[in-house]
Amino acid sequence: MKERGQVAYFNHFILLGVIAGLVALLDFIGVITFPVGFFGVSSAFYIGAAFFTAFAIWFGLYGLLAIYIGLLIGAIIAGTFTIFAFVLALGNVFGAAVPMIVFKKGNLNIELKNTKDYIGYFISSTLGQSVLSGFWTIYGFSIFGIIPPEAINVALSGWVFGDIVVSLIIGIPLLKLVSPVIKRTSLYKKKFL
Amino acid sequence: MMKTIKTPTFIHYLDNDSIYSRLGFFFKFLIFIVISIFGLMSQNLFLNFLISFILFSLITLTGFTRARKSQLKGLLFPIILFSSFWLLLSRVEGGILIVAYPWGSFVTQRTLEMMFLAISKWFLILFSGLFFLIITSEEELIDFFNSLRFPRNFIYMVSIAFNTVGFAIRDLETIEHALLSRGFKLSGVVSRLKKMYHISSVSLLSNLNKIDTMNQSFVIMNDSKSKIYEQKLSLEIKINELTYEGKEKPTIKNLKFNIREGTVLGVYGKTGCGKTTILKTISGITPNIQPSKFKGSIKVNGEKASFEQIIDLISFGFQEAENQFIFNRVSREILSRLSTDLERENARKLIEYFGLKRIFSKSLRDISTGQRKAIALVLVLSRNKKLIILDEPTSNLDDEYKEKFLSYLKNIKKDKIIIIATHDKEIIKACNRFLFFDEDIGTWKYLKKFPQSFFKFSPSTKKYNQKFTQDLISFKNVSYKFPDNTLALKDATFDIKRGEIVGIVGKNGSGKTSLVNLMVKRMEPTKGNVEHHSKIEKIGFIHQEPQKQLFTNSIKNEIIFGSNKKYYLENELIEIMKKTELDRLGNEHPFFISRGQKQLLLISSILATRPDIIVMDEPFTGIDMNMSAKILKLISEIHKEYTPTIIMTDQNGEMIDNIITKKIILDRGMIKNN
Repeated sequence: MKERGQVAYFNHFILLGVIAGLVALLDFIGVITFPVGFFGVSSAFYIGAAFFTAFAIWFGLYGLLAIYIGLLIGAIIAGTFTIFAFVLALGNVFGAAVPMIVFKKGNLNIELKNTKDYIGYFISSTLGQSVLSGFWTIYGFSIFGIIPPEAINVALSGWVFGDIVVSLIIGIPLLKLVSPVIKRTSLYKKKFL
Repeated sequence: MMKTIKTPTFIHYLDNDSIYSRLGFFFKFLIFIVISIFGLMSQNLFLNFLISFILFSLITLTGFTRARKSQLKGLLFPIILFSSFWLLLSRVEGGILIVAYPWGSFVTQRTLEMMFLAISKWFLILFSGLFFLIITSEEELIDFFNSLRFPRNFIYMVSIAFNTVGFAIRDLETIEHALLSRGFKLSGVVSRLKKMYHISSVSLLSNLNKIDTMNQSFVIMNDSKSKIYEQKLSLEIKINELTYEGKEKPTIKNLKFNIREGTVLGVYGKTGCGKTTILKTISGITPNIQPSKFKGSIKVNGEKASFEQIIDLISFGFQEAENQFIFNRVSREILSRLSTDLERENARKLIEYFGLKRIFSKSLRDISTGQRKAIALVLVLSRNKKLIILDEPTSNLDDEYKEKFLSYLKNIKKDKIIIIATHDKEIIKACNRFLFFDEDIGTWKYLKKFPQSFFKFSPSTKKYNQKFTQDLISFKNVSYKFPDNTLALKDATFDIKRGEIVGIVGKNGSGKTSLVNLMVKRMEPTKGNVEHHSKIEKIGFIHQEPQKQLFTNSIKNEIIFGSNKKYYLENELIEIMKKTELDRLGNEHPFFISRGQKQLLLISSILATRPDIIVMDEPFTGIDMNMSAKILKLISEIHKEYTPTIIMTDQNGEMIDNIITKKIILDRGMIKNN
């Protein structure tokens, strides 16, 4: 139906706009409240990490795109935007893609109903999200000369540890509380798109 | 195209005969793009700052200097800024000590260079953007993007993103305050993370609400061709059953009525009876946008209408005004959402009619909730449509706006169908047909005369004879000015005694919210002194937007959340839920209940925490009068039980007059009685 197509069209760009705005806000909070990193793409106890995972699981590829746009906007608002942010922000996007793939391909329940869902979430948000985004961003910092090579290990462990804590304390209740709401709206993407 | 509203984009000093007015839009845009790309790519610190300096000088020469009447003074600021940065950069080694401190040994020379390069790029892009905006008129910009579908939507998306951040940052403080008002204790890292979780998740949920409303508003209000429906309009509405996805019971069933041009239909019923659902079904929002099962038909002039046909006919005003806005400025919102000359001309007349001219260039975040509602109404009424649907149009509006709105409706109703869902008895005057939910038999009735019994209620008849003597809060010559220098409160002097019920009454923008914020020391006065005579342990604060103050996933949990009692007795909980009729909703998620029900839930939850002071900022918005009476009774019972001090604000005081022991009337920041 023509009108349904139109509805979907607007729905997506409004979804992208609002979620990108929220990502920017989370990025802003992360940078301002825990300024342990640089250029709007790094911070220990970065609460955005838990939300990015949830956004990717709920909104699929639209969620990933919104994370990318939001991180760039967040960096602009925090005044830390550089040309490298285009590359560095991808770390969080790829990181969030891992739980998204695990949940969608593994048919896991986004409301975390059983042990399988919890294990899937834990593994994908720690090994996947935290480690992948950490490696990408911290090595990116090093390659661009923002941090010295000898600081990589410390920065990476801080990143992964912070993300794990945030994923457990914020990510789990977030999925449990908000997923039932998302599921009942037209915003939820069962598949990737 | 005839430009009806001339609005310079950024600053008001762009003359029609200035050199920039003679430049074409594309030329100006090209300058902006070239400088921005240069800014993004450039690795030359000095060049970045130099171009920034030139641009900023041009900005001040064009805009600020005219305001200050002195070019020299205007140039002073960029010169100082430029010199300070250069001084800082030339002493970069010294700078390390300051900048590197939080990061310890991880900071390298390269890091600092990167940071300064980032700052220089940021300045360059910012100033090129400002310069572009200052030399471009708003119409030029909006008409350009409106003419290109993809860039327009991309710009809208970015605007929505920035607008969301702006509103969300403003809301963070409200959500945090609401959380603390519910007795949330802050100690330790886990507690802080929990707090961040609550704040972020509530922000997320209220924004999901926003996506839904914005999407519905955008689709329904998107017809830019503004087709004028020539024929006389008649509607046949038949809703056999409407069930929202995920719900078992239908929200509306067996409703059938016909209306024709000249009808103003008032939809009345208690909170949560399905008024909004009826409006959404008539407009096709359900099931076309909001997933639901619909059995029935909407016929226009005897023929079943498609959603696209209805969109061409309709102008729809949603309950929550701010959720519909795409841009952050009033002018930008109006110009972008109204694309034809006729609509813009209508908007100009309506803005003058409602007396909103003074806020036309302001940010939507900086105006009051009532003013935002009025702007949303301007948008809806400016569109030249035959079918106007309004959901609670007068909630948050003061008597003056309301009166103007009603007389405007009388003038335009002749060749339109107007459908209004409301709790407001004033609207009855403008209606000639009624759709009324009969609570006794649980069905909708289509009536020619309004059943007056609907508004027969007794708020709380008992006036307090009790004397309150112990001083609690004293205001001495208190004034408050907003950062933009607007006066919110002037020379307020009064006392509040412990145990009093204080009513603060005033129009939109009269300073009610500022006054309550000053009372509980959420804001500091710019002049004078606010004194708390004794320690206030717990303040229960009910803000104007309930969806930003609900923290759990069920009605039961929400009432328990923050309560003093560790384990709530089941029968006590049921008692509270019964008193506010929340028990009927079962264990529904607070996100999916109506706005009025959210407000009820919030009030019940705050009362359950038994605070020393209960502050309610316009608590009865969106709640029907019978329910408001029940809430007043509940407040009265709680007051008798442990005598908390209660502070309530209201537009006209009608609802609260029978319960309050002290009334403060505000008019443009001045207290009119004491």
